[in-house]
Amino acid sequence: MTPAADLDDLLLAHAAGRLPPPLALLVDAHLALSPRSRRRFGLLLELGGLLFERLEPAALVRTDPEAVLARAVIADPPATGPRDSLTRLLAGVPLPPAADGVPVVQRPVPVPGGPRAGMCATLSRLAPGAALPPHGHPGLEVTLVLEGELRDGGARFLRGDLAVCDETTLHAPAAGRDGCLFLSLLCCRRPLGSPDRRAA
Amino acid sequence: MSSAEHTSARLAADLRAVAERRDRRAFARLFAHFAPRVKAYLRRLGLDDQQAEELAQEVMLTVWERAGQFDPRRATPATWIFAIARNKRIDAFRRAPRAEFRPEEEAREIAREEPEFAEREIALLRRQLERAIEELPPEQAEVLRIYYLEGRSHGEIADALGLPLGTVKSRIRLALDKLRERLGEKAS
Repeated sequence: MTPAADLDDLLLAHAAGRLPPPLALLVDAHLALSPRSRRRFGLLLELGGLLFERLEPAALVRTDPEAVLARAVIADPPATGPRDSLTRLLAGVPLPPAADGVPVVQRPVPVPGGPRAGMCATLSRLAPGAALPPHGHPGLEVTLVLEGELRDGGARFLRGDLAVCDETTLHAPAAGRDGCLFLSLLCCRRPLGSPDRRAA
Repeated sequence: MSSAEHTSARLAADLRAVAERRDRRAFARLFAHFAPRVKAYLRRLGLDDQQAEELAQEVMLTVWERAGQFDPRRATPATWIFAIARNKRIDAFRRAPRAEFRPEEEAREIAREEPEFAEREIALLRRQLERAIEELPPEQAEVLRIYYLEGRSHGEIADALGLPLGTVKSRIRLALDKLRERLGEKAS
């Protein structure tokens, strides 16, 4: 799963500003944790900057830069502490606790647009060795590992790794020895019916 | 140094002057260079003239307010401003019902991480990228340009160019592989 090409496609789409906001946040959270992807993304963004710079400039109606500055707030931007992508994506949803004897704990995470926009996010905690039942996906599903290890087929994903699935994936991902906490975002082209279609 | 690099270095110095001294003349130069390009970008994405003008002004206001976040080890000035414009566009197109989504905060988060590139490496990469783009077969360069700069899906690009969908995807992939090879980056 997640051939390099899939991750690369995701980074390219992000560089070109083509991801829906929740997915853009998820990829940002991945970038914050992965220096390797950050470098790759930096190059893809630089490519965008280069193509942007070569655009034929458009004529402006208002050409006075002072008119822009007149709109600037006098003070510097408010000093609200920066919130990272993950915190913004989770929007206060508490992490599912590790509970003895419970193999899988899942919490829905509300996302802008929601099921009507084909978006659905879930926080999952798997106990050590626990697995999800085999399931498929009605669209693209991107998973960010937050703690522990996620095993899928022959692949292992650790903290900060992204796992990408789509309509063609049928799998039963499982936690490694220390369990696993991960955030999955499902993105479909059409509205999602309720109840959650991903239930096996 | 090529003239493009000279321009880039001058614009980077202007961004620093805005950040450190709130230099309005430096901002005027940045505005003259970038505002028409930002507007052109937003027009291509499908905004009408007035929306594009308005959003371009907003982008330039963000440049004034956030100039301190520009880091020459992360991006050239054009790329930094392209990223701001791209974020504004995501924001404007898909106004989320919740206020939590603030794309411009992205820059702050990334600013806390280790820079992607070493000092001065970015100028070299930029030069290599420019050369690599020149060497791409024109049909590959064209598909890349449309993908980045126009709000069209792979399918829409295929329709517009009268190509099968698979050809569009493979041209993008081939172009990226070639750029990566030219830059000596290993496949991820």
